[in-house]
Amino acid sequence: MNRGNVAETLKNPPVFFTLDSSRNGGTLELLGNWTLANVAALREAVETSGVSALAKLTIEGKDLDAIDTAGSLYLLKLLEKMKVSEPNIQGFSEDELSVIRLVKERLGTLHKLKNPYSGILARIGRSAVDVASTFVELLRFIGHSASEFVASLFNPRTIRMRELFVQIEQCCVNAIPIVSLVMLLIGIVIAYLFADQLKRYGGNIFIVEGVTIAIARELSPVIVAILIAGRSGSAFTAQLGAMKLNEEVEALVTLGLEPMRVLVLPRVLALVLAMPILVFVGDVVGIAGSMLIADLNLDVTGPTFLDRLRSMVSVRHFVLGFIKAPVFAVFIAVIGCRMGLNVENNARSIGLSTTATVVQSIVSVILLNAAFAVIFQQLGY
Amino acid sequence: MARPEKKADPIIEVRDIFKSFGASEIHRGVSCDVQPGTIVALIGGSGSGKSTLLKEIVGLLRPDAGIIKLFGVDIWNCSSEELRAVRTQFGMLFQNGALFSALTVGENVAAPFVEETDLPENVVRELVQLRLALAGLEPETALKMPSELSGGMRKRVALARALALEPKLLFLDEPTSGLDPINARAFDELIHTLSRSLGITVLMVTHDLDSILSVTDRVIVLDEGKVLVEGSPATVAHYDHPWIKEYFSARIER
Repeated sequence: MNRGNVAETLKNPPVFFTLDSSRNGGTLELLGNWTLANVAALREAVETSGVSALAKLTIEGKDLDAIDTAGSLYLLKLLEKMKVSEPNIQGFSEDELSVIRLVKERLGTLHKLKNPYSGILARIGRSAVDVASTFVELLRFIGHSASEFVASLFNPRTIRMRELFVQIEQCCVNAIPIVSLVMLLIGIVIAYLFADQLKRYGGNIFIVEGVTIAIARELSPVIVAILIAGRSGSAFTAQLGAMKLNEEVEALVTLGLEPMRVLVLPRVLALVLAMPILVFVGDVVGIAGSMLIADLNLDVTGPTFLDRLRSMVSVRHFVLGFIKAPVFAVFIAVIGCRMGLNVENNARSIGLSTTATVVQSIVSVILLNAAFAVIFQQLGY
Repeated sequence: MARPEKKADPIIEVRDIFKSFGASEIHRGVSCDVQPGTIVALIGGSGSGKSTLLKEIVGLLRPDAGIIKLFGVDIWNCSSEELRAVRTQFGMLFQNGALFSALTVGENVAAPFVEETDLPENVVRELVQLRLALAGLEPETALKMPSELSGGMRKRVALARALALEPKLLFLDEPTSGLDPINARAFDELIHTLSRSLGITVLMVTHDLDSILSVTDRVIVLDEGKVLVEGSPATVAHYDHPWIKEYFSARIER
């Protein structure tokens, strides 16, 4: 008997109420603390109690130590189980009664929350709708900005020159150092790899074609595009997103300005102009880096390198790079601006949109590049 | 849950608070008490240090000197466990709601339960519904994101979150700012009902004369780093001081 006492009390939850019921009524005596601290045990006691419907009920509250709103909730649930709506009440303090009354009044007007759709099917459906609406939204945005672009071509005065030049400075001039550094190192690394292989065959001079074509056709446009996606694309989203949050975009509209023309077009134009310039810088610096390695590792001197470059490497490889650059630029700028203008009215949204911009633009650059590779191959360039 | 000592002892005790930021002295010996079960408004001109005092009372900003006791605990000279225990006994409603924007309304209200209790999920869900109902919100609100809510609803959700752990003390920072008069009055009434029914003590920083005159029991006026006057709204309104006269002139002279 004694042995199990502690375990017994631990195992047996505290008693919160006793019910004396006869055929035509009963007395519900509340005991102990009906408070948040006991709420889990209290709920258990109410849920598992085998009470049935009663015609009349008296609730006795003299042994109740405390009751709060959480306790009241489960008292009401217990009464609901007994289908008692108007019990007699005795032994409660005025404070306790007012808590119970408030909860009853507030819950009385409520209907039960319907379970929202959940589960895997609903989730798939929801994200499918999301993807579809994002795509439609993107199409609409591209269409809108394209029509604005054409309109401004016919009326070049409407292009905001000041804004355009500010953007060109930010995404072209200010990007030159980082583009140069990255492309210099890429040029050096590529040349090292080539040098290692070429030395074995004594074909040292072929480093010129190998490195130059790789840099001009693929590496410079793609690497620069990825850098710009991370640098300017995300900046566009953050700038426009902050303006959207601050209601500046709405303010522009009420001033009779078209956000597409004032905010989006200068950014797209600036990037379209900036990107080929940056790719050119990337070409020059990357080739310079490989010239350095060619001289040090393969004894191909600078003048020899340039001579071979002029005679053996067709200019079309460079042109292909310059064709790709503005296409990448349009995608990066449009994605960046669209995500910026899509920012919702909360602080978290800017972060999410900026991340999405970078991911979407890098993925689209790589997809576009693959498409270009296939097209140029088929056309025999 | 540990209950505060019964009666007579003030629930908030502020003694000789001094605070300065650089050369500007914000508090030069502020002392005041708040009795359990009352609704107290803290008013003062801009720069009078109301918000600073509120921050010091809730334990966000350390005063340079002085004692602040909540539930009899000296919050700036106690162990971090004691401070934590005190913090679970009061709720704070920030001016713009300060709802966690990454969480749904339901998750926002559930946050105190998740952090402070080990209640099972189904109990928490029922309690969240109860809190929303107490704050006068529909159950569907739980599924929305804070960004989808209007200003008035945001405040109600913030109130539901502040009430989560059955606090005996509630701090409100400008509870009705940014609300239209109808919503502001409804919010005042809500605070009043909750305070009266649940015996919650309320300390609010406010500018809203309607709130002060309709729901508060006492008003504390801060001026020049000190408590200028303290008393019932009627007493304070007729206190002879230029700032107070101007402040209440809109209502009293009618």
